[in-house]
Amino acid sequence: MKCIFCEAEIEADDNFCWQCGEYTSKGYAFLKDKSNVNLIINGAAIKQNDRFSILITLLCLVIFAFMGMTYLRGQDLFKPIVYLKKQIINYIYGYNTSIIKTDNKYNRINVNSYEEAIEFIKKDFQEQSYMCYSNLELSTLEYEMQNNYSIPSVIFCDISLTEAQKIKDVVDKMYALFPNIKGALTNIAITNAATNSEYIARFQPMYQFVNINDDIENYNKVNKTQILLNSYYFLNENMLSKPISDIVGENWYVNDATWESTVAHEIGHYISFVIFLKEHNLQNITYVNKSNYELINTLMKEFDNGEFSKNIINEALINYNQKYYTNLDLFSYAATISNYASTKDDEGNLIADETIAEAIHDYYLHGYSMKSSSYEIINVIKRKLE
Amino acid sequence: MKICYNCKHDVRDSDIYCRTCGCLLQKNSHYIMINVCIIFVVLCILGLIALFVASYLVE
Repeated sequence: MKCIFCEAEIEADDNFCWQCGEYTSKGYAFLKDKSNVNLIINGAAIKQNDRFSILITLLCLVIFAFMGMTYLRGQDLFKPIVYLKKQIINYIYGYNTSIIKTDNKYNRINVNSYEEAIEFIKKDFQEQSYMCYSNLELSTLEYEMQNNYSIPSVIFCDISLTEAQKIKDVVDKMYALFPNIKGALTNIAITNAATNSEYIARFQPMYQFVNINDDIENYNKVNKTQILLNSYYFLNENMLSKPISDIVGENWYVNDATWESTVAHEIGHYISFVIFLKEHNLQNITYVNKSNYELINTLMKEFDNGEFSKNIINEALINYNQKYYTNLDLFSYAATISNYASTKDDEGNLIADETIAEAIHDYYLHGYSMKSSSYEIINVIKRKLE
Repeated sequence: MKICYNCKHDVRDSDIYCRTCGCLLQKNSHYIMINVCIIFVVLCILGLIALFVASYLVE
């Protein structure tokens, strides 16, 4: 017997052709016979590939459930995943780390004004903020700092409220002592340093952020000027509960230094940078376009070689030697402030940036009771900031 | 000889369609894959529900 559609050999009792799947005459008769209804419903002579339908239905259900949940919870839906990730990373490292990435880089982005550059900097952290524990009071602190000091992005993330408040107090006092320094700092953020004890806090005058490798003829660039707080210290209560001198050694920083006062030291670096920009008629280096690209590159090289800071120290040293009838050299003068203030580079030259930062640190901690050497540096700085 | 997944009747190894119910005969691996996918999707649904509930519990 042959199938009428494909002419394959079939058996007399087949309902369907084994080759083309079409009904045979017997199969057609079987389907037409009303007494076979129950048999057909139970799967005889009918195609019931149930599992595949179930799979498709379940897939649709997953998609709609995911869309619904995302609509209801937004990015908060992923908080449990972030929480688990944090726990795993913290377990691996053995201490609390920051989930926030401060080293993102973006390419081929159209940024056409300073305002757009600032918005981009804000957006980078806003997109990550859902990964931080929700704390309204902490968010308020961040907002106040952003608002009061024109810092586009402040992100403490998982720093405790108490610690964040202490840091804010430092920043508040520094901006009160030096009111003319607004406008160049773009970020204060918690971060993971390359090695856990690399630094406690760090000032980065220029972090190339957007369109780093793109041609300036095609894309404008964005730089961040930021103060970074090392998570190894600021997220770990067991570290913060120890005196800072236990970690860095006695007399490394100026007397009475605390974990939070190191932020004043970093703002000290920032103040040098602001003075440097001011002397070159620049307010910031955030937005880079064709017209200021070369200038900013040249200036940053000049700032990095330390000559500018050394000139400030030299000026202060001359005043100091005249006032106190001494004849100190640059290094001995810096050493009167703190050990950190007198650190040298690999070639044995004084790192004048650190001397200025430590003098400002001293001013922050002791006001006009600071060391006479710091006082002379502060005088020069204040005059240059006017 | 093998068995039709749909009607459980015996079919020959060379058959493309079941002679009794007309169902397209697939390899065993096809059915195994669908079953595994169903288990995976069910786990996804359970995971999503757990994630949704946990998102209210984690600060």
